[in-house]
Amino acid sequence: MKVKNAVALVSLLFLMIKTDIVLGQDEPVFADSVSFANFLKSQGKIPGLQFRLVDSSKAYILDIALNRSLQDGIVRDFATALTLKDSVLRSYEYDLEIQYLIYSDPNTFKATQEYVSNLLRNGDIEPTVEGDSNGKDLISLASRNKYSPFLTGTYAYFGEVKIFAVSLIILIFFVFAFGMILFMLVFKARRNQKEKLLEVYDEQIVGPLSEILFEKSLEELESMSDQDLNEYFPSKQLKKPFYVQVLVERILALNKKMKGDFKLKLKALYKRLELDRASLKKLKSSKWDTVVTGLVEVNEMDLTEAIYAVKQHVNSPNFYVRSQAVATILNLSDSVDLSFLRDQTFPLSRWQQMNYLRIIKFLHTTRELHIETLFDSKNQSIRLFGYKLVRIIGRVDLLAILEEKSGSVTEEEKIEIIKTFEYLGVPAHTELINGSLKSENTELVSVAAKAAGAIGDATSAKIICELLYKSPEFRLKMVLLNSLQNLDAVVYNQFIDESVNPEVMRINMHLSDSLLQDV
Amino acid sequence: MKKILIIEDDLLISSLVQFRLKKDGYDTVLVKDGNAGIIAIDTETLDLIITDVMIPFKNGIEIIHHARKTKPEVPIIVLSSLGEEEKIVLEAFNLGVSDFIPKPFNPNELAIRVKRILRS
Repeated sequence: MKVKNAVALVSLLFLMIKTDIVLGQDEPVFADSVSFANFLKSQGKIPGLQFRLVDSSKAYILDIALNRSLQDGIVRDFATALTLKDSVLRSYEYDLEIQYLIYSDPNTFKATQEYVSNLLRNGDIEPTVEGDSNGKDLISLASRNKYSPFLTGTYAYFGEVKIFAVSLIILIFFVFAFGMILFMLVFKARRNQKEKLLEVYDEQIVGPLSEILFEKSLEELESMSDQDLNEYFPSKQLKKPFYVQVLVERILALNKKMKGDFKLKLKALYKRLELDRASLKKLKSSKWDTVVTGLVEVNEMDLTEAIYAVKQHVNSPNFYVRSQAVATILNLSDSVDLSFLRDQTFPLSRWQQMNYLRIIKFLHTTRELHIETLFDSKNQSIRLFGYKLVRIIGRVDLLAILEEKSGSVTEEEKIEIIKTFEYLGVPAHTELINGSLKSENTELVSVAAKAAGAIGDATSAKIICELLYKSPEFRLKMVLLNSLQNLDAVVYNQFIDESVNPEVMRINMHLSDSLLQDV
Repeated sequence: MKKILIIEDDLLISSLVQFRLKKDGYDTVLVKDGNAGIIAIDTETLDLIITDVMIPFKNGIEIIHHARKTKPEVPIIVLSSLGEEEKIVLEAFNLGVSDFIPKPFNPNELAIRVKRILRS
């Protein structure tokens, strides 16, 4: 960039110098006296310049014989003066010279040369012979000529690439700016129109909704004829998609904020107005957000007939679609075998697990939930979720299945299963705890040791002692000692007495301190 | 005719409540935000105020504060979806509200409570 700037600066300076050469007033027009004399010869008459022949005493030479037209010996052009001089020399052998008169005043050759040079510079005369002029003269003369473009008018723009390009850029800018403004205006106008329409529809909907909810019983609403219903919600309006959208949104909003028979009335009205069809249609949309909206509507309005259509989305590649689909099925199914969840191929996120758990916690007291189905899933995150469910909703009846499965599960699953047994306080098969204590996985050992403190046996205490003799890392050592203390105080004290490890002593002090033991 | 001020930004809820109370023969004043609520409290002769907690410009607690200062004799019912927020409920009761109805609610239940409060 710096080099570019430097080159540009040098070029600019060169141009300035060059311009000075061409247009400079101090530069001599004629290289020498010979070229000036040749110019005078070829030029003919020059304004303000005259010549005459004089002798050595500067007296006028009058040769009427040669040229009677001469007055006071003055001639107008240099060539004639030279011819006259030669003629007089040949005839009379006088010693003659040519005197230069500028506006009738005699001047020297040099002054005359300067005078003619100025005339040339100012453009008062134009040279008739080009042969003797050098390149600088031509440039100088050319620079005095008035510029006239080759292309004129409209065509000039197309002839000059730079002007055309700049004009094009400006034009594109204005077109783009105008387009943007137009787009904004149209967008705003449409939004305003939509908002106004929303207000109008709101007013049209609120009145009839209030009347139906307060004036009609559920039975009356269900038995209303289409004609009666159209008096509240005109069929003409129900054909308008935006009106239907507003109506659906309002009914859904009310359903969330109302209690009691109002909810039933809203659901009945939803079906009577055939808004459920619009919801089902949304489930078939190719847009994921429309599908999610449809799923929410199905869920909120308890459209059980849509379960089959909802199941199609349970394994959707879209996170939001499958999350909402599972939540909808959980809410709508009377007997939930959870096979739809078992067959999910996508891993469950923590957010999804919390969401499903919230629904299942609410449902498990009223519906038959086959959580054990989840244990057979090929998806580990689903199996883990199943084990957590057993723990959180307290399905002690499923612990036997868990224990049976624990022999063939991954270490991550073993951790969840052991946590479940510990949480529910049910002694597990010794192999599950004791086998896990011998694992190479530190986390599994830690969880098993913690569980052993509550649900372990004598073998567990023995294994823990063995582990402690191997001097595990501090945290594990602390868990092991804590568990051993809870499991068998005698063995624990025996180990402490035998131990000389300062870390063990510190942990023992911590565990023995009544204030610190639970920290 | 008893006059009830309803301060609620949700058009549907406010319209339903208004419809239900009018059906019981009450005169109602409906406003959508806190500022309009304060003006209505200052200018109207009221027998009861029903207010939401989360409303534009001034929240329900500020409305209750103002009403307690200017019209301490007017009973107030708080209608809010923040029913589980113990802090707000306690603050409202400390300020002397007559009742607190959490959303979702039954408008008929609201009407019964209004009748009970106005009768007492």
